[in-house]
Amino acid sequence: MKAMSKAAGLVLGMVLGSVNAAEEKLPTDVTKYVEQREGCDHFRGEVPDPPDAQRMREIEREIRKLCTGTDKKLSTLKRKYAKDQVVMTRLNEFEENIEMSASTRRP
Amino acid sequence: MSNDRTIGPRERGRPAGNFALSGHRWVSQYLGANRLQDLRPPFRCYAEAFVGALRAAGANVTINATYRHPKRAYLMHWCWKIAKNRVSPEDVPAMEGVSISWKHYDKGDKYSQDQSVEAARAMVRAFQMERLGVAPSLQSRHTLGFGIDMTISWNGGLTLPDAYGHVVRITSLPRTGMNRELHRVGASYGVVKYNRGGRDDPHWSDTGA
Repeated sequence: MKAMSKAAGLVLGMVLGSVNAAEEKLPTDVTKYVEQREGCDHFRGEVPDPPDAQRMREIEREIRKLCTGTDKKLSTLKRKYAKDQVVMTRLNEFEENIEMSASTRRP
Repeated sequence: MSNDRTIGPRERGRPAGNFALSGHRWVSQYLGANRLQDLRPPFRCYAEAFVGALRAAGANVTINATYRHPKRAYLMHWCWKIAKNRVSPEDVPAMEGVSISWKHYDKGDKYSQDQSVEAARAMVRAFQMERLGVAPSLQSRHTLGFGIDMTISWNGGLTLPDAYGHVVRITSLPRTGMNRELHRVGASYGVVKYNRGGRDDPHWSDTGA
């Protein structure tokens, strides 16, 4: 277990180190967006299955905090950094149009 | 996020082969798992060792979710997108091994947008995602087999070994999976408490994501 644990730590450190180095090169507004959007995407993957009302309330709360306005922000950043290949590569990793459209949103 | 398991461009007309129409019956397919053995190695070994140590120490551990089949994530994602008018049923990419037809046809064999969207809505209702404001993701630590949701609690102090064999006595609060000392013990096993944006009490994974 000790050897397994050290290997796990080493791999994790290498992964996080390379991710952090890449993120450091991004503009502040993009970094901020990436952090928020990754949180949003995490909770999009946590929709309880089978359904669980309490867990769903927690997920909906976090999604409201982290995902609201994400489509518009992504679109704005893509326009702003359209000529920056490094930024665009990072932004293109995120799925577009994940929020409910205005026509289906409840009043 | 792209879905590299999907295949094929927009198709015209009825799909060839044995395709079943979308609808609530699909919701009983590819059910999610809550067993440690459904996780992917080596994370499975890490989680088994950590949970084993917790239980041996007298903690209550309830595992709520481990592996989510990518096919189930596909069904959840695309039924939501169709139901919320974010994509036309005609434009949903196929997924290898999922013989679902998102497109419905009327009695005259003509494509019916209304029937197609209503079938997707029935699936959203069956998944109980009506109030969800965003599309469920196609990929997560759960679909990769590297994520676990579990409720942990104990009474009094908790004494357990970390992965290096050091005995750790936890007397601090809370006596739940949100205890910071417990997070260090979990990390020694390669089971990392969620540490990204937002608060997710039950979630642990291989990376903290």
